[in-house]
Amino acid sequence: MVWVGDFNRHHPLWDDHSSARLFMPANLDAASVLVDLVGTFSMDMPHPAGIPTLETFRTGSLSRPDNVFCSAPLTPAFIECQTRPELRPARTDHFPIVGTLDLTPERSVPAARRSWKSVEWDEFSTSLSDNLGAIGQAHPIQDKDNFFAVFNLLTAAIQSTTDQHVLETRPTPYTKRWWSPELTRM
Amino acid sequence: MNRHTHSPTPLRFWQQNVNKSLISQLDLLNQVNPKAFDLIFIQEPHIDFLNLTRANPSWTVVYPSQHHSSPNTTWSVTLVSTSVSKNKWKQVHMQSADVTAVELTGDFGSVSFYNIYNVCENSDTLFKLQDFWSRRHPPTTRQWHQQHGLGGRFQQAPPLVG
Repeated sequence: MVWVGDFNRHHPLWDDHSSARLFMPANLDAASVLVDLVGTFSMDMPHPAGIPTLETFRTGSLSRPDNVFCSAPLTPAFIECQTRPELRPARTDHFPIVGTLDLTPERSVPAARRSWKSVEWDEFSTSLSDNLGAIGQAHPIQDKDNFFAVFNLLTAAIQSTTDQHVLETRPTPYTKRWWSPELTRM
Repeated sequence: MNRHTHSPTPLRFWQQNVNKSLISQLDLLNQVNPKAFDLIFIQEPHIDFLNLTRANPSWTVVYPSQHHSSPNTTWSVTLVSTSVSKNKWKQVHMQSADVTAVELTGDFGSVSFYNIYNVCENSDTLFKLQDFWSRRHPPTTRQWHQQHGLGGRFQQAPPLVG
């Protein structure tokens, strides 16, 4: 497991040693709960000690309330775990911590869709008529096997016409449902 | 319907306290590319008048389990990129407004990420987590702790002061 967060605790194990003002007995007592947890669950600290994660607005003093801990077996998976002060968003005094782990989660890829609205329907109808004509004369269905044979021929005719005339498209996140070809022409 | 694929892209996360600021959270969302990052761990998130935080369609928002019954106490929100297959992650429910957790599964096994905000004044959240983890992730090396006195391995940690 990985613990990421703002623990609001100061201890020489992760804060810069020059910040002696942070190591008052009350602060060390408060931090002991976290230190005990880290030990109990055999956690490592992939974010190197001594690097601050907070620069207070008022005084500009640096400290390390934010931290990252991970189970010991997971430590070798950490490719990177570092503070990126240059990427700090506006209106916050906390620096971002960016971590990269050598784990590859399964990604989702949007499935391709048919672009039905760009179909030339006259051409589609002509092709479909030709393909259906190739099946032969319609006749009453007598049994189950006959039904599925006709069903498969019909499906194949529609599918081949679709493949021929309907383009595949992958919608982008920027797609607007109300955008039309008329708007493109304008 | 989505198809799923294995991509060699490693898992990346961004951890940020935004001081409850809308401007800060919007700036964060503007900076973090959901194709380059899989998880954003936000502490002190902005909560609006609808009791919701801010995100965009590229992220799935994970609120603390009790957020909708007491939204004003929410101090932690996790965003999961929609590029991560929804079949491969789930929320880990815990009764705390200061913690959101997700579990990712894959060829690597399963890894739980806990996004924690612990207030300055007390350690209630840490004690709650201790109970929760003791049940969910029983420590296997308590003896290790007893032998070493203090915590786990602190990378590049200098010796204790005083």
